[in-house]
This record gives sequence, structure tokens and C-alpha cells, in this order.
Amino acid sequence: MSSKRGFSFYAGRVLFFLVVALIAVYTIFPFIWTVFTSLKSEDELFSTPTTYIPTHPTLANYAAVFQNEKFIRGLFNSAVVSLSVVLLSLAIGSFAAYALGRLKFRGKRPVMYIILAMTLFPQVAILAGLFAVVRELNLYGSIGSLITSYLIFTLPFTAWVLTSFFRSLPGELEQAALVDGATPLQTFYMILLPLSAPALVTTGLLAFISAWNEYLFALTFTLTTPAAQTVTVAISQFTGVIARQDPFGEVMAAAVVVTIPLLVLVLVFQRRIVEGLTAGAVKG
Amino acid sequence: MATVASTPASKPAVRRGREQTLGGRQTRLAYLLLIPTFLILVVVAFYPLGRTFMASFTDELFAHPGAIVHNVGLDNYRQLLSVQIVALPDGKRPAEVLPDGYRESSRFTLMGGTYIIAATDRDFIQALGNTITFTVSSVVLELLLGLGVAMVVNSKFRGRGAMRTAMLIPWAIPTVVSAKIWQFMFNDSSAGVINDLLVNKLHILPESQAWLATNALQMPAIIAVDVWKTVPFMALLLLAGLQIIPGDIYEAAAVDGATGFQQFLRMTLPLLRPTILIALIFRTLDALRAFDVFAVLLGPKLRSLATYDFEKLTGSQLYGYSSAVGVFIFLMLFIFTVIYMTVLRVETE
Repeated sequence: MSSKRGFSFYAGRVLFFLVVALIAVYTIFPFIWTVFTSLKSEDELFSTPTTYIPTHPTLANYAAVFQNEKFIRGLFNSAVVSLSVVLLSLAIGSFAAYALGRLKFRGKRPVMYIILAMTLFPQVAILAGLFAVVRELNLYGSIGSLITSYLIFTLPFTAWVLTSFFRSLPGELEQAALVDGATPLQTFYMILLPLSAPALVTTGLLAFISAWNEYLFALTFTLTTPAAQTVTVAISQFTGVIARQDPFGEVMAAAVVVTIPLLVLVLVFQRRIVEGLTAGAVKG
Repeated sequence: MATVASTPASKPAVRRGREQTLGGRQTRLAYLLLIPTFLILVVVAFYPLGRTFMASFTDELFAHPGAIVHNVGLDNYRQLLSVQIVALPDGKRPAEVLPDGYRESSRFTLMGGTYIIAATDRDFIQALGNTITFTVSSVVLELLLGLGVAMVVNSKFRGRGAMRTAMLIPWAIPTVVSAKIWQFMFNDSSAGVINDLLVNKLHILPESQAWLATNALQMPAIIAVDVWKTVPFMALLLLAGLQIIPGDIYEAAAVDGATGFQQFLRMTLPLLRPTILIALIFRTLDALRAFDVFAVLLGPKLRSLATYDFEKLTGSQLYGYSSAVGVFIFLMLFIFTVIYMTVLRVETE
């Protein structure tokens, strides 16, 4: 068995690493460029041709962003909305998941199909009707409208992922508990839930990110009430504090501020996230 | 009075009512646990869907409380969906051949003759066309590139972990934020990075383009943004599918003389089919209802179905009409979802 260490082998390896480097650059470049841009002074922003690394880095854009009330308010609103939605979805979704994953009852299959179909529901289609509901519940222009409407995508998703997780748990613990006289509900919150902590964290994280990311509902329900706007709306409607038109420096700084916490979350929990995303998809 | 709990193998001495058996209790508990979920889904999904459906037959206006609402039957749908193909003879202007109320959406030539695709709602037909073009292009690109990236990252190499981490970055950035970033990157002059790279650094283009303002360039630009955001995610999804495939089958195939390409075609692809299918469906549905990237990057310059619906509702304030658009979107996606569920069920049986 001769080892083929000839030219073609090394050429292949070089090509391979070139491709890897290309992919890495393509993936990361826009973000790095955003960071650099956020550090540029206003005159350097639109210099032609563009500069990459700022010649005189400045934190002026960040200072402006943190003075931007609408933006700060947006961050706060986004945090409140996303957190509330996640907690609600996890609580209600885990109840549903327990029923679907561990209990026997008639009509289980259609219910599961409905929940699965709901994860594919096109939000924009019901925008008009949802607006009517929000108005009738007196929630228009408040973050309550968002907490309510976001459940349309976080709840089915949470229920679905937790259902497949619960189904994968072994049944002996529950049976032992039942023999000891526990009710099904007790086995649920004393045994199943603690066991599910990792799945709850992952699902909660994914739900958080999708709630944070949401734009359509936030734009529709809070466009005329800046006090309730989330950060996605705030960024899209950004008016600069120091710059007058096209405050891209500040927008880039805002982009970095919005993204950093998400990135940290994603990087810390990345294994979980990838598992969660693919488990939901691959297992179907 | 039977006090011994019945085991599955023995018949109970006394027949208990449905409520008292373990099965009955389970059923009751299950329904109880499902009630909050269903309540919420009714309020935020089913009821709005019904409301939208009902409103599509009216001329209701947005934020006009007190105005009288009329039932207009299928008028909204007629206005939305009336499309005709009209021949345009040489020398005639479109205005002379188009029927009343119809405007030109696009034209094409076939066998020497020019034909106009005319619609009563030209903007809708164009939004529909844009959305379909966007969906097909981005899904195909994202699948192919995602597969390529997944294959690359699947091989063992140093820094693979860092690579997979890096691939999560585009996914983690909110769509609106990445649209804003790319909006700046697509700046008209060479102040925009894209222009600078293509014109000055790589010399691929002769001069800077106004990407977001030029009709022909808008679609490629927005597809590029979506590809950037989604390919890493697709790759991760496909990677998960790839890693389930055991490595020894490749060794066996190599011993049998199969080339790398043959291995890929005959072994990898078929084994990857379920994952590809799922990725395909999710991406297609996401692309058909794309809103964020269209709203931020191109706004009124190029509409998708979603931004069109949004504009009709909040801009033109045509509540009834936008409901018809919504119903159309829903039906389109619903049909696709049904196809998906059927195919997937066939896969898993």
C-alpha cells in the first residue's frame, strides 16, 4: 500500500483549506465589517472608496446609540416581550407536550398534526384578522399585543419539540412513581420537568431568539406607539442622534449592540441550539 | 366491592366507569392540559384566520371605525386575480389594446409577436412574480451551497469546531439587522463594500452599481442577502443529517472501486434525502412569506407578497382587500404544506 503523498495530495489539501477559509470569510465578514463601520467617524463613513479598518476609530456612534431613547426603550421592550413569551410558551407548551408525549387519549394524532401544521402557519396571512383581535382585546400599541401574538409561532414550536423530547424519555420513572401513588400531574412536575431541564433551556433559547427577531407583528402593532416598539422596529426606523441623514454609523453601532448578546447566547449554547434545531427538523 | 387494582392480564371483577379507570383519567388530564394551548391557538390563529376570511368579502377599511362596511362578494378576489394575456400588434401602444382597468405587468415575445401580461392589480401580480422568483432562486442556491458547505465542514480538520461556531453567526443576527447591514454594504458608490470589492479590488465589474435602485440588480441583491443569512443554517441542518451516516459504508464502497463522486451520488444523496426534504420544505415556506428582508432592504421598490399585504393593510388601509391577499397567501402555503405533509408521511411510512 503506497501512500500517495504526491503533489495532487497536497494540492488537494491546499484547495480544501482555501475553500474553508472562503466560507469562513464569507460568513463572518459582514459582521466584522459592521463592527469596523460602527467605529468610524461620520466623515469617513461615506468616503469613496470605502475604508475597511477605521483610520481614526471613535466611540462616538456608540455614545449616540446609548443616548437614543427609542433604541434603549426598544431593547427593553424586546427583552420583556421575548422573556414573557418564552416563559408562557414553555409553561403552556410543556403541559401540552406532556399530554401528547406521555398520555394516551383519543384524538392524539390529529392534535399532533394540527400542532405541527401550526409551526408552518404564515403569520402575514392573518395580519388583518389578528389586528382586529388585538384591537378587540384592547392591546393595540402595547407590548401585550406582541406577547399575545408571538405565541402563534412560539407555542406550537415549543409544544412540538418538547413532545418529541418527552416521548424519548424512558417510562420506568413514571411507572415507579405511579406505583408509589403519585398522580400523573405529580409525576409531571416532580419527575419529568426536572429531567427536561436541558430541553427546556434549548427550546426556550430558540423561542427567545425567534421572538427577539420578529418584525412583522411588531411593526404592525406598534408603529404608531414608539413607547412599545421592540428593537427590530427601532432599528428599522432609526433616526440618528448625531448624524442627520442616513445615520449608518449609528445604525451599525446599534446593530452591534443588538447582536452581541444574541451572539454570546448562541456561542455559549451552540451545541444545544444545533441539537434543538436539527432534532426538531430531522426527527420530523 | 373490588379493591384490588386490576392488572392488564385479568378482568376486573367490577366494571368501573370510564372516569375511574386509569385510561379515563389520562384522557381527562390530557384534555385539561391541552386546553390552554388550544385556547391560545384559537385566539391568535384560528379566529383571526376566520376574521380575515370573512373580511375578504367586504370593503372594510382599516382604522375607520363607524364607516359602513359592505359585502362585496368576490369583487376583491376578482380585482386581485384578474389576469389576461393580450397581444400587442406592431405600432400599437399598450393603452390601445388593454381592456378597461387592466394595466401592464410585464410583456414577452413569442414567435415574433409581443404579448402583454395584463392584470387589474398589477402590483399584486408583480409581487407574486417577485416572490416566486425569490423563492425558487434562493431555495435552490441555499440547498446547493448548503450541501457543499456541509460536506466541507463534515470532514475532519483542525478548527472545525470554530468553523461551526462561525456558521451560527449569520443565523443569530436578527434578519432586520442583517438587512440593514447589507443595505449599507450595497451602497451606490464605492463607499459600499460590495461595489468596492467588485470594482476596485477584484476588478470583476467596470464601475459601481446602484444595486438597490436598479431594477435588474434588485433581485440578485436580495437573494444574496438571504443566501448569506440562510446557507450556514442549511449547512448545519444538512450536516446533522450527514453525521448520522456511518463512515464505514464509504470505506466498503472505496474497496469496491467506487469513486468519490459515485459515492456521493449513490450513497450520500439517497441517505440524506429525508433531511434534504425537510430543509427544502422549511426554506420554501419561509421564502414564500418573506417579509423582513424585503421590507428593510427594498421597501416599496420591490415587493414580496408579504410586504404587499402589509402595505395594502397599513398603507392603503384597505382592510377587506388585504384580507383577500391574506387568504390567497394562506391558501398558497396551505396547499404547499399539505403536499409536504403527504410526501413526508410517505417518506416515514
